[in-house]
Amino acid sequence: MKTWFPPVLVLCAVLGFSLWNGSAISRSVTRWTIPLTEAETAAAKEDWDAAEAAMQESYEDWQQHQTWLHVAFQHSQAENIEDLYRRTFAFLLFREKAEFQSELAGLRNQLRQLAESERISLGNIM
Amino acid sequence: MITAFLRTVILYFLIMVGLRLTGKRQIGELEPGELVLTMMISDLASVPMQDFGIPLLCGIIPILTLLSISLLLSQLSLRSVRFRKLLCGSPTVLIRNGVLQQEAMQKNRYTNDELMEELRSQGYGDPSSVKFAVLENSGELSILPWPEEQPPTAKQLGLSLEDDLPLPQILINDGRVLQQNLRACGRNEEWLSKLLRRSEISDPRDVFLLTYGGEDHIFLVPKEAVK
Repeated sequence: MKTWFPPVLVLCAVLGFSLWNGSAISRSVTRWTIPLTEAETAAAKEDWDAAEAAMQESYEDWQQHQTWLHVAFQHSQAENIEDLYRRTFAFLLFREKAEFQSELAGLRNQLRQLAESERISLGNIM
Repeated sequence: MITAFLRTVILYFLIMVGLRLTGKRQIGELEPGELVLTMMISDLASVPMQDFGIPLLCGIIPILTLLSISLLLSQLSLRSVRFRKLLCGSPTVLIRNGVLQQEAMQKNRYTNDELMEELRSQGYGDPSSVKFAVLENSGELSILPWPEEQPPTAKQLGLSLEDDLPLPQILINDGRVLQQNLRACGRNEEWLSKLLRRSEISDPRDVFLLTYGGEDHIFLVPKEAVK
């Protein structure tokens, strides 16, 4: 029994961490996406201050998790999303509604893909 | 660059520890599954070592998973003969009582050229001098020649010999005295000093190798600078 224990423990730890990671990124992406949806709604009503506040809330939350994101995910994924945040902010600053909404859609899509990449699915496994 | 350095160190030690735990030391002794494991691990380690955009965990997690599964499978192999046969295969006799087992050779895709090459590399140019040749799971060919083709043993000649075969222990290795081995031989530093003085050596650090397997089996090589 003793000889079985270490490899079983390691496998359980690895599986547990992987499942936790998947669940954590899903929760985080939901949390980041909610203010983005609010920003989109606010921008549609031309309430740019509210849109900016919502974007800022999402971005600050995203920033706080950079270490984890770079440890657990491909750097290119995190960097693409960072790029999209910055571009979205740029269009927000200049009140470019169409471009802002387009970049925002791209940003939400990238976040969705980040969460999806950690889900257990046939598509991901195969 | 510091990233490359640190990642390499981490992955290297992870693989070293992992492979040591699997208990194999020479690539020649690896079963096919273990050879695949070793190759996969080295491949998995090299990717995050070279591509800094890939998290280290993308190398560590698969490596740990592979090592753990390998350890579990080897534990299962220990306990179940059937499973061991399924996982590792079983040795195949290619020459039985001097007769080439053609079906077995075909099944293992073992050609005559390969057979002759293996026989020659082990000193048997003539296949008729081999009684048994067994293809092991590791791919090595074990050869058992006919009794008349090998030197007789003392037992076969009916000689009774004194059992004076020691298992020499290394007492000094490249100038370092191995205290544990010294104690295991029932000797001490004083005895060692006397022994070295007999060979006109005053300091153990001047000794390259000293092995001891009893008073009649002492092997001492001084360091070349001292000579």
